[in-house]
Amino acid sequence: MPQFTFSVTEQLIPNQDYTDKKKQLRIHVDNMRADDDEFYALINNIIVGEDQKGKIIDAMKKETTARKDRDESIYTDVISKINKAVNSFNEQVADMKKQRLSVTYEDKTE
Amino acid sequence: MSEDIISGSEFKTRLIDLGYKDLSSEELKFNIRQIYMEENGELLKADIKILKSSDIESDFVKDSGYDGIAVHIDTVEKEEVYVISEGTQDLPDWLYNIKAMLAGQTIKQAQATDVFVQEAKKHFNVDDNVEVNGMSHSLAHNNNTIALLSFNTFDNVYSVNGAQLNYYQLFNTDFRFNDAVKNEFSFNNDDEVYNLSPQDLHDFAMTYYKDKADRIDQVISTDDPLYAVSVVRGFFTLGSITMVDTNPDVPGLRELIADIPDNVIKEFQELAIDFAVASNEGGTNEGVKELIGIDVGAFKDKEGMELAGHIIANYDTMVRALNEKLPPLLDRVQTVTANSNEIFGSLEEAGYITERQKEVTIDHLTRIEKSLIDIENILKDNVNLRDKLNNPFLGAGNEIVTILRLASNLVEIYMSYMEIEKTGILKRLESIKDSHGLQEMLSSMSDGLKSYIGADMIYTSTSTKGEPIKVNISAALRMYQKSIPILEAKSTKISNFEKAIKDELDESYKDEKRKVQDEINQMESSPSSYRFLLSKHGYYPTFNKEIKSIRIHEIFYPLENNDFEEHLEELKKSVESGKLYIEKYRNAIEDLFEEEENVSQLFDLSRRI
Repeated sequence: MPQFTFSVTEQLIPNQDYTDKKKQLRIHVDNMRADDDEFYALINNIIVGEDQKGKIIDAMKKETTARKDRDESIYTDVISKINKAVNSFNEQVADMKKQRLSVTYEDKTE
Repeated sequence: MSEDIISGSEFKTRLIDLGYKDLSSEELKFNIRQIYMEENGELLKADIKILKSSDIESDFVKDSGYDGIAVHIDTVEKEEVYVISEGTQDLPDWLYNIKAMLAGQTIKQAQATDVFVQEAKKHFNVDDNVEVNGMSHSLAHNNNTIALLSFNTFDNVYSVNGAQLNYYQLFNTDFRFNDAVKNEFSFNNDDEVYNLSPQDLHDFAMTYYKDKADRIDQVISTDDPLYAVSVVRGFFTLGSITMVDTNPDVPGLRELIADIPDNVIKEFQELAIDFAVASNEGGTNEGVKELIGIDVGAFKDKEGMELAGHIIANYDTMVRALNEKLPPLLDRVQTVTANSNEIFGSLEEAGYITERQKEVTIDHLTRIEKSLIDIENILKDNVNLRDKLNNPFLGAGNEIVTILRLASNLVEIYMSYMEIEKTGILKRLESIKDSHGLQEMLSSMSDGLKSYIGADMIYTSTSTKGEPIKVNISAALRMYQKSIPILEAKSTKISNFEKAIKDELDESYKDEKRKVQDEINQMESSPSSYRFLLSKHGYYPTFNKEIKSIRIHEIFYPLENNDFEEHLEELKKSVESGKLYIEKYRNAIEDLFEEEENVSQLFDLSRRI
């Protein structure tokens, strides 16, 4: 009996949405931010009165602000990277679930 | 005898302040060591043990409302116990204040103080040779000193802005003092004590207890409202007293209170005694019933129809009781309203309130008084009508009119209260409350370089040119101690994040790949199970066809965009630079002060606590 083969691209297993992974990863960023908040809260009360001036005080205030800004900028980058990584993960897994296959069958009537 | 382990007014006041902070035993120990280091510039080399009154099993202590913390400090060379008794904190404490100090009817909290101290001594396994010091603020001074005078509970008592001893309270509870007073003034019936000259009683009490006076140290703000009140009948101030003007902007209220005639105070005292005696016999509800004639406890746990039923069933009794009790209560209120010009005039003169606040308050107090008189008359008319008709119910029409008239007056009172509040007078009078607190007292305890804000120690730098710079040394040391553990915690969180990236992306991708691979294996090993592929891709008819094999041309790409290396590196760098930043901050603060000011040493010691 003759055999025939055809080739197709087939979805092997159903697709799934992995967007929730963004939340799972962002939680860690929130936890780090909470530590930073605690850290800066310790520093905030040291110099009594916002209006105090002086070379040393100004330098420390400037450095504290610069540190805070830098930390915040790192977190912004990390969150953006998380979004990109999870979106890419979603697409790549979806692609992986589709594969090219060849099916060989026998026709019993011929 | 060597100096006490905890010495100096500042240290003692800060210790008393700790008692209000609801700290765990471990936090208390840490804070005591921290304050010791800040105040003395060295570590406290001692074993510290803590016992809280809430930890002991004593229904008596619990029911009294007393709260205290016992601290046992053992330096090997010296062993001491400090008992921080808590001042007025909640409603039971306020009710106790009325019963103990205004009415002079109870010393339950002082007895509870003694029970707690004896339990603490047993718990710490200390004998009577170990010095026990009472530390107190507000109501706690009354408790600690009565415990010292009556039960010899303490070797010494140190208090800030204390509620003073009351000779009526001691007369009613210390039988030896009671006998001595009766002998001295020749009378037998206890009630007669209230008719004696308060000044004579005051002087007698001062002499009677003078032997123990040198064991009591007090620091009192001239602006403390309790200091002002201590001028009236009942109170006597025993011990070595240091007066401090904590709010130089105002003169304090003592002169104002001193101007209130003794008979007025006596009237309020009688009211308090009625309340205290009834509460001691039947609880607080009974005390309130004694004042207003209504059993408020009977309303408890009732709502809806049950509550309405209760009111209807007891309506006649309640109206009659209110009618009977309101006039004497109103008399006391009228004592205040009749003197409102003098009272608020003095407050204005002393700078506590503005002229407008005085005028609005006096105007609305007069309106409140008028509404209260109206309420009194409405009740009187209602009861007279009942008596005339000899019927406990006047009919719905009459009762509704009565209720509406009462409600209208209550609304008037509320509106007047709101008008008074709108002037900001209540907020303005807050400064009086602040003068009773520990923080204002600490703020006034500055010593050159050193001062306090809240319970924190402040150093003022004079080494820089221009304005002096104030640095919160307590906060700086906390930063130096606690920031490293915080940064370490952040490091752990970075590691957790790193692991989460691996789990959520890399491992998860491998899992998905495994699932796909499993499906491929399944398809290749059992092709006949996938007959549906024939129809799905149009190979009809399918009944005469049989799938012989399936071959997957599998392609798996490695996961992309999962590289967080650069970001993780940045986060780790932030932790490392944080450590450098703390050191830089420490150096900056040290640079503000001269070497002999030992700021550097404090930083070093702070991490060894």
